[in-house]
Amino acid sequence: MNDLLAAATSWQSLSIVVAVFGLLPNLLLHVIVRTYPASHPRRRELLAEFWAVPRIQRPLWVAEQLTTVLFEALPIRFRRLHIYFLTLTVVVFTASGLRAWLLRLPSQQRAALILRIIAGFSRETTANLLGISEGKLMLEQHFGLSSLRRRAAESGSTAAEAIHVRAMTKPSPYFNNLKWLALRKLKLKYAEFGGEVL
Amino acid sequence: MRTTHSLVLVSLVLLDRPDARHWGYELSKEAGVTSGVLYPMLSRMLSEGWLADGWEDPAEIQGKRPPRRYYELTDRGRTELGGVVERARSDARFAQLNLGWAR
Repeated sequence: MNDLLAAATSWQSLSIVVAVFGLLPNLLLHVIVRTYPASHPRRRELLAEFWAVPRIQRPLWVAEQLTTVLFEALPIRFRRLHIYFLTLTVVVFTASGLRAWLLRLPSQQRAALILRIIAGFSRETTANLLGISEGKLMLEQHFGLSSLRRRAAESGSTAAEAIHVRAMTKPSPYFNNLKWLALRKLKLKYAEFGGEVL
Repeated sequence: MRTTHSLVLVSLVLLDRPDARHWGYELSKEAGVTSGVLYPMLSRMLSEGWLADGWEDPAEIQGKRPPRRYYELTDRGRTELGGVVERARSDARFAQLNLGWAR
């Protein structure tokens, strides 16, 4: 009995209680909300909700948020990966010179260029698909295009060629058909998400 | 939206105080719906225009905590969720629930 009492009041068990009901839940919550894309309002929302939960229930509540993340944040991440994958399938069917340049771009820049220039989506739609703001999208586009331009200058082709990506994506009718299919799939996917990926 | 148990439970809570601000944690407590189901449902309702959302005014907050997000029913939401409860009343699946008197 005395041993039990001593164990319950020892500094180790006390520090465990402090950790579980004091610091850990908030720390853990900060980690798990990062599953949401940075611009998603749920990040801020869950971090604020935390303070409304009674202290004694916080560890369990934070554990419950793991399911929220599972049902909401992971599908969002997965959709975005899917978009990146679909834009990559478009890249495969572009002209070989341009393909090499596109593959060397960071994935977000590449996706932005393909969705805007090749697929011809509007600025708003593209920002939505990638889950970024329109300003960020324009930055990505700018950086993507300028590195394409730089590569074009290095390899001796004219800058105009590199900028007009659409003009450079006509290798053969066969490839064009496949590219068209990939684009169609991208558009269907977009419709399936209800025009809203974020 | 498909009429599910959790949708009916959440609509009951929302329609209980149709003009009030609703908060995520309190909603999940009162409706007895876990956050993993509640939050995606709230997002759907927002995109359908049944709910409107907003952030608490930082000036009104007592103590040190970030502003919370609230949800309010729109006129459209009131009629739509009223319809959900109405349909649930005549549905045998929801016979176990206490759906109260017609509002």
